Amino acid sequence: MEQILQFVLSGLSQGGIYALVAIGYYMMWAATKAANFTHGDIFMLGAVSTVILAGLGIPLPLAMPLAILLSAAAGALIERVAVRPFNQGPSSVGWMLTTIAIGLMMESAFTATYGPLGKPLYSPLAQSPIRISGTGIYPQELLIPVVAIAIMLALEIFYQRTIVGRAMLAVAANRIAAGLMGINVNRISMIAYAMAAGIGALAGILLAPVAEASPAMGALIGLKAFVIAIVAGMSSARGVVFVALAYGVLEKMIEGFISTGARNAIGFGVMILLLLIFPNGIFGKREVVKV
Amino acid sequence: MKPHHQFWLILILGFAGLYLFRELGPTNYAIGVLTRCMILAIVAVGLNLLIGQAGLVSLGQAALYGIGAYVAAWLTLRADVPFLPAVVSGVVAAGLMGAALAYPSVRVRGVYLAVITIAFGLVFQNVLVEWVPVTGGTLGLTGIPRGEVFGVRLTRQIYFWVAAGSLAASFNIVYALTYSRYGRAMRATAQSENAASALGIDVARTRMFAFVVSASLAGLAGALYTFLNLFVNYETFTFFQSVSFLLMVIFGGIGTLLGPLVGAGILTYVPELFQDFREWQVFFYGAMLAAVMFLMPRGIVGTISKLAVWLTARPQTRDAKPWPSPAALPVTMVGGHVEGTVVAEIKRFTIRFGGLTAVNEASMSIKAGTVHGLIGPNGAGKSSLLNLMSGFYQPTSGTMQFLGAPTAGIASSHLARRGLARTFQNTELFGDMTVLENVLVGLHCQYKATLAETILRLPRFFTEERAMVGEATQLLELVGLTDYADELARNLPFGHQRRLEIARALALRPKLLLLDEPAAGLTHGEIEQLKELVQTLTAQGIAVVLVEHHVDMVMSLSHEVTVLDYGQVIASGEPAAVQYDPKVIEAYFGTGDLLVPASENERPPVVAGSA
Amino acid sequence: MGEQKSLLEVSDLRVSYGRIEAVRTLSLKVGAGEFVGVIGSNGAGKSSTMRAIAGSVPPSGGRIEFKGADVTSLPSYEKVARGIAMVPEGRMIFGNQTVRDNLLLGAYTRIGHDKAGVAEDMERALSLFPRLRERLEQLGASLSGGEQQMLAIARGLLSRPKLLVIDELSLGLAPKIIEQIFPILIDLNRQGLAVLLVEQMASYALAVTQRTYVMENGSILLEGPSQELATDRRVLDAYLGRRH
Repeated sequence: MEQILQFVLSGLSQGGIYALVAIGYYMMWAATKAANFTHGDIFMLGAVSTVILAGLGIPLPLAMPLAILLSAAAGALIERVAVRPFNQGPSSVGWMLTTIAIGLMMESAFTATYGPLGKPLYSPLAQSPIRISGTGIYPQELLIPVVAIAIMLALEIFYQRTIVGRAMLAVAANRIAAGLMGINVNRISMIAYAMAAGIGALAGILLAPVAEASPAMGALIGLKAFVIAIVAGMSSARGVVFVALAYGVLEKMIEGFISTGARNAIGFGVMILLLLIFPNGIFGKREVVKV
Repeated sequence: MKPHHQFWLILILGFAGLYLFRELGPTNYAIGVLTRCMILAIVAVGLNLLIGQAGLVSLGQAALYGIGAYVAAWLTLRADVPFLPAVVSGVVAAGLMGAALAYPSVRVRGVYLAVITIAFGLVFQNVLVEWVPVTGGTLGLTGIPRGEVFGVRLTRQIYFWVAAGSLAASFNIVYALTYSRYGRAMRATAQSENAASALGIDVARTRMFAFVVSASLAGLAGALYTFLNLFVNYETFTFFQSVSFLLMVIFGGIGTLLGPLVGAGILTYVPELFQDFREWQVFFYGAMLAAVMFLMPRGIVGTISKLAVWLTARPQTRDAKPWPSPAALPVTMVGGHVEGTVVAEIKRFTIRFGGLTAVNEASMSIKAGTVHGLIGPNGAGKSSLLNLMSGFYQPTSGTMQFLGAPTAGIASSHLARRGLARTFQNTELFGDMTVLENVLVGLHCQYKATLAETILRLPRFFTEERAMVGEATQLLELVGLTDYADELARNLPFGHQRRLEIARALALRPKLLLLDEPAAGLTHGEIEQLKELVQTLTAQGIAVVLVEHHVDMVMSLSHEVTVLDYGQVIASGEPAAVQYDPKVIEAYFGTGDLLVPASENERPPVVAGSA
Repeated sequence: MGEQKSLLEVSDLRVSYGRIEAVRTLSLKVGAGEFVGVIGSNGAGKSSTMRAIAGSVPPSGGRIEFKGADVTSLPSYEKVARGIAMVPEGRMIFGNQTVRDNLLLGAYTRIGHDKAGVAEDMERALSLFPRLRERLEQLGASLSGGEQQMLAIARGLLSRPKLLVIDELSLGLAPKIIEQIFPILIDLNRQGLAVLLVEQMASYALAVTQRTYVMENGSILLEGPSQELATDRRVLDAYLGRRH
């Protein structure tokens, strides 16, 4: 029983990371029906640049927001340079390739300069684990899903209570109608990418104290988060966070009861199966085919 | 240059180049690199079919390549299976895996499919590492013996030619499919799913077929790789490798014949140069991909050939011939004149979208050799009714009999094959295919030649293709577009596009033809010609349903007219009777009395009437 | 209008989608405070013309002047800021947002600097359409077709436009609803708002507008005072294909 509690807690922690990255995919997708395919590398950028800034002697409370701002700028830039020009028409896939290219470049540039190995980030919450029946869990890990849910709630307020948030929903629903309201659709898209990147970077910063910051840390997490967002149906932050947390717990269960090695194979297998059952995602709406 | 000239030129020059290379006495290392390059090119050629023809992107090609490699390796090592059966097993295994993977994914397109293939690739790698008893784990499978065929040991020297032969065979398969009805069907589904299924093409099956072919070729390449490298390990079959396969295709030029070969060549040799960059190697890979996307979105071959076309193109004047020319009506469509028999019987068709009832208990009876007009104000449900009849929508309730058989639950592509053809309100041509090809897609279901006959290009393939081109040309003559046969459909003037769409629909040899606003955007002259064409068709016994806003056209052509308003039939009968029906006038104009001058009163009559 | 410069002046407008020309050399004018109608059969290019005026499709030729300034190729969000609001065909309500949020989005260009003005206009719009006040916190998607059309008009008014462009007001609405909405438009027009109304139901357009353009095949076929056109047999013929 306590073992299961342990899996659930560490699963929620892992799922919280997926949630924060997947929320970014949802935001980008909602605004543009495209995304930074290698959003996982923005997650990495957040963690790695915090470590670098801290290494330069900048105190952490300053380094973290700086890293988030830097990542947000990178997100906005990617929207402008790699997504917007390559996202003309509903079936264009150019943006996929350009953002993959940028991801590859980022990852390898950091590998070459920062080094391939992970470096830890200090956090007061990752010093002594809380004991739960033999195994331990850091307070930092428990913080992650709390932050994920808090961000989700904040986003819901942002969408419902602020004019930029409403505009973002409007852009997601109908770009033409949004333009007719006087909304600069391109600027809103850019803001969505910047916010997605900021949230992704935050996830990286949260994970770095317990898992170290390395250039390769984002690739797999990014892909998983994208799959999660798609399986959730790209329809709401709430749905995305729910699927992400569930997926995190599922992974820990597989690790605990089957084997660490089987984690990805079974996990992705389940996701592919879910997409088979729900072709538009679990919480997705069926799009009416217009003839 | 015609495709078949290109094909033979590439093949002959390719083999001449390979021969020359061998005559220069290359090192074993150089032979090995070129052999590997040719093996990678097989994957690229297959992927080019998937992307360039079917418009689907796979980012898991390395895993299919890996399945071929591991299956061949395992069979050889653990079961002593000889070279040829091992390779064939690799191909089959990858093909089957491709089918299993394609089944859920062909229904979703674009990014969904890409993500599923990525996920599959990651699962595959995970399995390779973890399933140690079978895959050898991180060490992989080592000590694979060189292959032997009919007692000949496949040394590095000989294997070079095995790879070359396999590449040539793969190239031939993809070429043959591309320039046959199979390739046309793939391009059609990529450009307009709706139009493709309206022409009898099963979209999901076509996509799955493309996926299986590209997976099988990846499997072939994987199996060949096993017997070149003599050991396999998970590091070869990464996501990164999938990206480089994609890059080969894009770099060379999507959809071009030569492109994937050039792309594979560059991406095999360039990393050799990049090796000096060490940890920056991946960076330059990414930079190269970005540069290609920004500077040459058509790839090297695509950009150069477009430039060549642009430089050599002479301004051409083409003339549309007078149309229709009934004499050109293909024999397959002549006769069968049984005017008056009921072709389609619709009973109480209803469809709701959410809370909106778009069509409400509409009934119609459509007879052979007649024109049945369908009119009504904007949003009255005409298009929905047409979509119900052609199987694009399934009714909430109600039934339809087509040629005596019920249509419930039958897909649009199957109805099309039974002889129900349609056009679309916003013409849905295959814009990047030629005018002739558009009509040939319409003839897709009339072909009898098998896949094997097509790939091997046996005599029946050629005679049949010639006959079909003949029929298509006749249909173009019917609508006066023979001059435009080799022009891309999207370059046609609007009026000609409408004509082409009708010619394409006629290629189904239909018993019932649904025309959705065929006159919209046509000039008065063109409308007169269109009327003549419709009369030519009904004279052959074809039943025509005409949805049109040009009411005068409907009135003068139709034998019977049905008027819809708010999804309901408000009038039905002979044109003259319907035209003066007060309900019809009201539906079109509203309740305000148009012929009475607006009163001097400040309040207009329409408002006064309601007060 | 006479010597006075028009509010909106469209000259030789062309709109094409690829090689398909939906509008070919079309010219029309709307004076300040004028109520102008555009009628014509489906596919005549009415909606394309309105989209070009509102900036949601770029014109391929010609010129659009608004308040004397060239606005031909401005994107829609800049045209809204200059005073052109459009009620699009199909209404395009944001179904997953509340009626209130839809209205606030209509005021997007001014909400940052004129909160009081927005509140005032909101109140005015809600008193014009009391049905919307009852449904203020409901999602847009839950409204009936008529209520959605009212919301679309109210939303358009919240940008405080000089010109309101309405594309296919009556589309899919029952006559009773249509007859409730028209008097409101007439009132708004009397208060000085210029309205450009595209309407397929010719009788309505001819009854409420001062001047009407009849479109066919992407250009203007007829133009004149609505009362005169209402008795012009050519208008009726264009619709029902009656022969003389």
